[in-house]
Amino acid sequence: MSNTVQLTKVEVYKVVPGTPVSLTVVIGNANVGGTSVLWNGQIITQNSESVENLAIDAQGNNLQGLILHCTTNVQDINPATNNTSVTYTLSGGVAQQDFTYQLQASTNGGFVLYNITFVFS
Amino acid sequence: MQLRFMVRFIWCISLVIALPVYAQNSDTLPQFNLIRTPVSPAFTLLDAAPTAVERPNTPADLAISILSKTTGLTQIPSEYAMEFSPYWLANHPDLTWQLDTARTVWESIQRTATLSLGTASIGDSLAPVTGLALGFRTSFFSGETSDRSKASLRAITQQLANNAAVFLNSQKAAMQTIDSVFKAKGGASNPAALKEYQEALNTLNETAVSTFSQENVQDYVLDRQGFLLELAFGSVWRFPNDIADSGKFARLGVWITPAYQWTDWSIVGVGRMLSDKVGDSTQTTIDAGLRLIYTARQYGISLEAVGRSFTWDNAPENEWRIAAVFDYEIQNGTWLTTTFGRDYHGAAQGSFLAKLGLSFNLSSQRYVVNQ
Repeated sequence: MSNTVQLTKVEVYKVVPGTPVSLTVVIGNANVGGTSVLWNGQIITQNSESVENLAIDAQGNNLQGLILHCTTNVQDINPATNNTSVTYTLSGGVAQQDFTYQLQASTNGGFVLYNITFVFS
Repeated sequence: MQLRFMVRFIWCISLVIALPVYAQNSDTLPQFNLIRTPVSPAFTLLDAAPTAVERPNTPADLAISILSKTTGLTQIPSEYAMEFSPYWLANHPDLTWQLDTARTVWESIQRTATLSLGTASIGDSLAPVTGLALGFRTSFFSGETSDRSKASLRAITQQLANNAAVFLNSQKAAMQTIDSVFKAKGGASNPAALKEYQEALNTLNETAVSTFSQENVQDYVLDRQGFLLELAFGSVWRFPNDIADSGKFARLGVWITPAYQWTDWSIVGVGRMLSDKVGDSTQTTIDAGLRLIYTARQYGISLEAVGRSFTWDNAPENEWRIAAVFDYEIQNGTWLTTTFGRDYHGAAQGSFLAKLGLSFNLSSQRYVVNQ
């Protein structure tokens, strides 16, 4: 049996035409996690300790109507709780916005996949 | 490889011949560990080993657990065990593992504090008694995450990100199809399309995750180094015939465990006070001890000394124990243990410790300094 549970959410983020958007991902509750995103047909994988100000289309194209899929894979390493949490911060649009989610791992050492889709409007 | 095995085999055989042999399924070094700060003081004071311990993760879980087990706060359950950390009942979205590597005293107290609550039947059928225990445990100092642990967590971060990419890639074609349908229906400006889109993605991911394996993620290492100081206390009340007004104080326990952990070496102190109400008098036992430990990948050496004193009239003489212990891991999880020393009752038969035994400990850490 898989020891991975998942959360899927779709969010709408208002962008400013011609202004790039950046993404920051914070894994809370002292757990560990890694993120990959699907943007414009390409998968971009985190290759550092954290995702900070990842530029989404730095070319300055109009992002309205485009979709960013993010998958953050969290492992519950905190022996004090099975709660996991991820906060996505998008900036560069009409306003900076935090999107925070939480879900319990099924067991100590279990995994939680956060599948968060941002629709740019 | 064969030579190495032969050396191990001959060494084991020689010890088996030389020493009396015993075997057990638990830790063969319990004397020191029995008096150090327990993980759950309430259960230790009750002498209970509950088969199921409820560990609520949220305030709602906590409330449901208490209300259901006490039938709406109207009765004391006879067999109940619960443990929770007040700090971790709340979500901490900004607390990354990197921010938790070092802690101030207050942060340490908050993040390590646990409350344990237990009830157990401690009488018999003729004189039923329910024991109720409450316990509290925390660490004033919890050192820093070791470099070994930090490296392990960084490596796992990359593995988790790679697995996220594998998961995304496996869904890519289906997601792009769902995206196209969503856009064709008007995208974010159409609430109905947005709802359908959410449901379609959820169904897709729910199906995929049920067979998604992450066995490639390596085991993580979580240990802390530096100065550690654990403190715990708890008490037990007896309720003869389960009558609330008949409740009487029965036992009090206080533990303190200071320790300093280096990479291979550690030194652990321990202090314990247990007070039992016996009739109208109180019998208090005080233990104090020290243990020096060296651990390597496949073996561990420790030297421990424990003293015990009794404080009531006509109490037994003070006792002390000193022992040297050598552990060698024959194979994964199976340890050969030799113990030499003097047990508590020096004048009694068998108080000279010279033992050899096998123990089974599947934990990745044979010696746990900070629990």
